[in-house]
Order: sequence, then structure tokens, then C-alpha cells
Amino acid sequence: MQFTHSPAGTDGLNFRLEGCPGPDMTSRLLALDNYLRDHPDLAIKDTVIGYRSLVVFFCPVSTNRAMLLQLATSFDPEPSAKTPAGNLIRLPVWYSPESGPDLIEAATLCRLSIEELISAHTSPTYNAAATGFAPGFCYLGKTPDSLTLPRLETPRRLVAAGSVAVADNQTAVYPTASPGGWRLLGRCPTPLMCMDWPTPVKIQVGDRVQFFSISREEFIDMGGAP
Amino acid sequence: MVVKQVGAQATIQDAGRFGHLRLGFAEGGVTDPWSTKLANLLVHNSPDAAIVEIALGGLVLEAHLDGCIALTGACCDLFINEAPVTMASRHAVRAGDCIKIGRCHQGVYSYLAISGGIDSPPVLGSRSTVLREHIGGISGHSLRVDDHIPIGKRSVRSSGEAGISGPIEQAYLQKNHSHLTLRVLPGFDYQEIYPTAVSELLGSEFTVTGASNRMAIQLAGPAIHTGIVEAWSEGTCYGCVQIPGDGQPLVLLNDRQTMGGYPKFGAVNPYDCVRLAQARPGCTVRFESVSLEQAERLQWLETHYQDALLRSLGVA
Repeated sequence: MQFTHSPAGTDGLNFRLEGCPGPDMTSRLLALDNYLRDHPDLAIKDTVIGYRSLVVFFCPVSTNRAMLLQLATSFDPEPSAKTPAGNLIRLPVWYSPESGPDLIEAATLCRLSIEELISAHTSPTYNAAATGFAPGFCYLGKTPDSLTLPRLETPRRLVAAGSVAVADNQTAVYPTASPGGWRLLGRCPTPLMCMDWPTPVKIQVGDRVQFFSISREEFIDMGGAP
Repeated sequence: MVVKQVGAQATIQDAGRFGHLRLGFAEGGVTDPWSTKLANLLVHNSPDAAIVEIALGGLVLEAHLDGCIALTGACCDLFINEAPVTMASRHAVRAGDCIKIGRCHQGVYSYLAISGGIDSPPVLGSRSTVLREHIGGISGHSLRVDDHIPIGKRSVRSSGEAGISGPIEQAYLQKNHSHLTLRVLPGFDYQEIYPTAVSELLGSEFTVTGASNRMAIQLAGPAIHTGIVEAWSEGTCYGCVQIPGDGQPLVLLNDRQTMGGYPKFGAVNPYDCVRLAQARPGCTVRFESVSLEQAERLQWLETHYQDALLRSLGVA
């Protein structure tokens, strides 16, 4: 596979692909990630997929950096036998000024009505490109051109768990309560993270995510606390 | 053990939570693994048993079981039932005894090992507390008054292996640093950063600021303008030198976020990172660029030096 590489410390390697971040780049990064993690001759401790890079941490005692590089270089993902397609995850969202304190301002900034904004946010199938910031916080792209929003100048000290937010042309759901600088449009009533699940987070890189609009009553019925 | 008083911050930590960066979970873990190892070996625990990490001193505990304790790392006053006792030694404690870690004289992080090790519930295979994520330790928070710290019943260390009979000489303890050289292995964006910015980063002196914590050491110095306009978020590593828009470098530590969107120059040698984490605000630092071969050799030397110290203390 074509990439540039550099050290990420003595036990890490950063592989960067050329081109534009997007679903195609994510699936190429995932293919390389799966190949290296499953390779019997390598001891991979952890990996982090970013927008256009894969950082691989290996056990320096049992894994030789040169061999890791050589295997990655010679890896050629067959376009037909792509990485297992991620899950399609459909998430309900109660869009309202009550659940999304930036909804009205966001609509004004985008010159859309609230209905148009909701329709813009629910229309794409988003690509989960990277996990970062907090456990299970997955960067989803891209929002329609009509729905791009600058980050808040001053981040909030506390964003409620389940908040659905937009910054630039990315969208995300805050899995747990945390500080945050993205614009909040609504809230999702279903949990995105639970330490008792076998995989404690709901959305992972490579998944595809769709949002659909629900009412306040449905939000409560689904277990949400307004 | 029951917490009676707390100072700046005390958390339960072990070696760290590994293998979950991909899901966004920070590694966490003790800031100073060497001091942790010494404290655990002094009380005949496994070297990476869970321990209390105390930032800048200040912690009072009441023992609920008979056992022993040892304190290493940043130099603090230590008392058992109001009587001063030495750091880096094993001390027997009985149920009802009061263990007081007082003022911190130098360094930042001290380590209190308790025989049996701390037995709080592991989360994703680790007891390490990551405060930002509210996981690990006791319900994901730092120690609070009236917290009950669960202690393992038996010695974690299997019989036949001896710990350190102690006390440990000063030579084995964390030194106080007023200046540090940080050996950094270039990586990530180093080839895209302006050459003038690279020479400024490597040629200037920076100062550790008080905004430092378990996530990162914040440095202050001449503003480094990397010239990188668009940096895509990507995985970070331990020791990663990140240069945000204000040009003041950060060295990322255990509780760092798993991804970062600022330009990154490379990674500081892990042993230098520990010395940096133990440095007080005002300590000056310089970066020195090293090759991959030099970085690997440095790590090999430090690891073998520590192994030799342990052997000289009677630990195989």
C-alpha cells in the first residue's frame, strides 16, 4: 500500500495515506489496520485510525520495525475483498431548542428553517472516520454543505450525554457528559457507551450512521431524560 | 484503608489500560513507573500492583488491616501516628494506625504502596483512574474523604520471589531537576514544519508551567510557528510534542487524548518524560533531536540501568 511513514516513538509507526479523507480513505486505513493486527508474525499492541493516518503500536521485543514496514508496504488490499463493512447504526434524535440549545442559532447561521436543518442533518449516511476526544466519541462526516457550523468560541463546561452536535462539516454524539465546543442540535435517548457491553462503545471507525427525528414523547419513551 | 484527608490530588493507578486507544480510552497509569516499582517491591507486591499516586503531597489514611506500606517518588514528609518515618522504607502498620503524607518538598508525584496491593474493580483490565473519562479507581474519581480503598488479601507477589528488604539509598530515588534535556525522536509532522521553526524548537529554552497535569506538560517559551495550516486529527503517542496555534509546546503524557489535531514534532524518550513529569513549574528544558537508532539505544540503556539497580537491591 502507498503511504508515507514516520516513527511514533520507538514502539510506534505512523502510516499516512495520500489523498482526501473520506469513506474510501477510511476503508483503506481499516484494511491495513485489520491486516497488521491479524498478522501472525506481528505483535500489535494497539492502533489508532485518524482521518488520513494509522498509528500502530507494536511490542518492540517481539516485532521488528523493518518487518512491520515491509509487510505494510507489500500489502495490497483487493478492492473486491474489502474490509468487512461496518455496521449501519440508526440513531433517534430529539431535535429541539430544549434538547439542542444551539439549534435556533445554527439554523440562523446556515440560513435554514429548523425543519430544513433537521432534514439536512438526517439526510446523509455518515462515515465514522475516527474515534478520539473521549471514549466512543466518533467523528462522523460529512454534513451537507448547507449545514457547516463553526465551533463555539467558548466551549461549554458541560455537554449532556447523548447530545448530537455539529462542528465544521463533522457531526458526532457525545457518549458521556463532558466539556465540549461543538454546536448542539438535539439529543439521542439511547446509550452510546456502556462499560458492561463486550465492546463498550456503540460506534466504531468504519461504521455508517444515520440519524432520524423523534418527538419529545418518543425521546422519553426510549428512555431519555429531558 | 479509609481516606481521612486529601491534598491536591491522589488517584489509584496501575501500569495502565492498554489496547483500547482505538475506542478512545486513554492509557492512564502511573506517571513514574520506576518509583512505583520500588514502592511495590519494598512491600513485596508485584512490581505493577495498583498503588496510590499522590500529586504534591497531602493525604491521610487510616489502616483497617495489619500490613505494611512504603512511600517513594516525590519527596514528602511521612508520619505514622504522628511519628516521622522515612520514605523508601517498609513500615509496618496496624489496624487503626494513621498514615499521613505531609508536605511535598521536591518533585510532583509520590507513590504509596500497600502490602497486598489495591484491589479496586478493574475496568477494561486496569485499575488506573482517568479522571476525564470517569473510569477506574473508585467510581472514576480521585480519592475523597471517607473513601474506602480495598486492599488485596494476600501478597500479590508469588512466594519464592523476594522484594526489596530496604530501605533504599538516595541514589535510587527520583532526583530533583532544575534543568532537563528532552531527547526527542522526530516523527509525525516534522518534515512539514518550517525549518526555521524546527531550529527554534531545538535551539530554545522552555519552562515547565503550572498548567501541567497528568495529560500533558505545558511548556512556555518563544512561540513556535509551524506553518502547518491544516493538520488532520490522528493518533498521539506517549511523549508526543504537540504545538498548538499559540506556539507553546505540550508534551503529552499518560492521560492524553488518544487523538490530537495539532501539529506534532515527534516523541520524547519515555524516561525523559518521567523526569519531566516529576519537574516542578519553573524547571527549564531543551529539546535534543535524536535518530531512531539513538532513541532505541537510549531506551535500552535506561532499561538495563534500572534492571542493574534492581539486581543490586537483591531483586532478580
